[in-house]
Amino acid sequence: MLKEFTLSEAQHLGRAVGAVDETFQMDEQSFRTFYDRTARPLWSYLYRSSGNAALADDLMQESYFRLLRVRFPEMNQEYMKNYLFRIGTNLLRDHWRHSKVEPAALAAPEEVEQPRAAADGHGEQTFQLRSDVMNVMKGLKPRERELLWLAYVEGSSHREIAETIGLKEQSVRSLLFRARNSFATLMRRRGLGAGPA
Amino acid sequence: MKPFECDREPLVIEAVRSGLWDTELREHATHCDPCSDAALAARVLNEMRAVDQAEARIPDAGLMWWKAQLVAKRTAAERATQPISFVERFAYACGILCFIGVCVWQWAAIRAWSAPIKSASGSLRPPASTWHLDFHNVASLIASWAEKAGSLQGSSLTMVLSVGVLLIFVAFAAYFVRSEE
Repeated sequence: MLKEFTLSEAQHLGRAVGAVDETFQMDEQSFRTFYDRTARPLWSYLYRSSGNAALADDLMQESYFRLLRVRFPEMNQEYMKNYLFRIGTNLLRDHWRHSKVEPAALAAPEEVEQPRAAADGHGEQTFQLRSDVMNVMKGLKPRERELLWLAYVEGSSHREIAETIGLKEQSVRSLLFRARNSFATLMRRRGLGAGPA
Repeated sequence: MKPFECDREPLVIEAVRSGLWDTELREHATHCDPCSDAALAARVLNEMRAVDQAEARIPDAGLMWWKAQLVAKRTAAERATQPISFVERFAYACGILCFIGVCVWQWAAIRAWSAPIKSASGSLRPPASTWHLDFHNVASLIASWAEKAGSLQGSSLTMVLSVGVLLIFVAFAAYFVRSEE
């Protein structure tokens, strides 16, 4: 799944295209700063929208590859972050379209991966929370998951969400309202909604 | 029906994300339906994000940069060799079309060439009884084939040899192409 290179492939590729000059707009230091700031949020977004950690790994990697090839009129970090999320969203849609997998079919709770760092007692609690919320997320449409994550986790404005998902700002308002209602109803039905804080 | 949204919703979301609530806002979020739902969604999803932040195995930025450069170089190389591969495919297509065209155009000549081969191969076919494995029969059969092959007309023999040589060349070409890939 992951587009990994072996050393020999890399050497072969390096020899074959050593003369090709391909430069990015961003230099390595700027990329590192940007990547450290955005990689985890992007991975979380892709993982929570798709319910598949391996897919989130792949799409995150591909999103950065594509972003680096884009020529931005100005190197605005916020704009680039939104653009990155837009690339990720489109890649996710493409994946669903081509794989013909039902996008709403998130992993069932028993199939949800054990937390990667679940060696201590905290891990079990984390796993339970993850299972519960995954069940709730499963009841939502893919677009609703994306909307909720962008609005309530990334803190994106309606305009930013509209740009990322490819909708009109007015549509975001009403879709977000519906998504939030569905989410809260499902959570309360499972006894997970306990006050605002 | 619940109201569509509340003006204070962004403040509530920000309070959930930062963990900094003031008493009045908390009181409002308890009684306002949209704010209550927004606070619930924001709280749960941010908890999930915290879990992900701790557990996600994100590749190092340096490794990602290196891979991105390799991918970009490969893409550039593919782009650079695109015209060559296009011309190659065009040449193959032209070759095949020419071959078919010549076959159609010279069909009468081809039939005339192949007629002696057909008749010779028909006469070379051993009687059914010789298909049983018997070393004496096989030896006599080879001898009779060699004798009858000598009776092929010169032009047909040339054609058979040409086809044989062509097949050997094709096999070599395929071998080299595969080994380069």
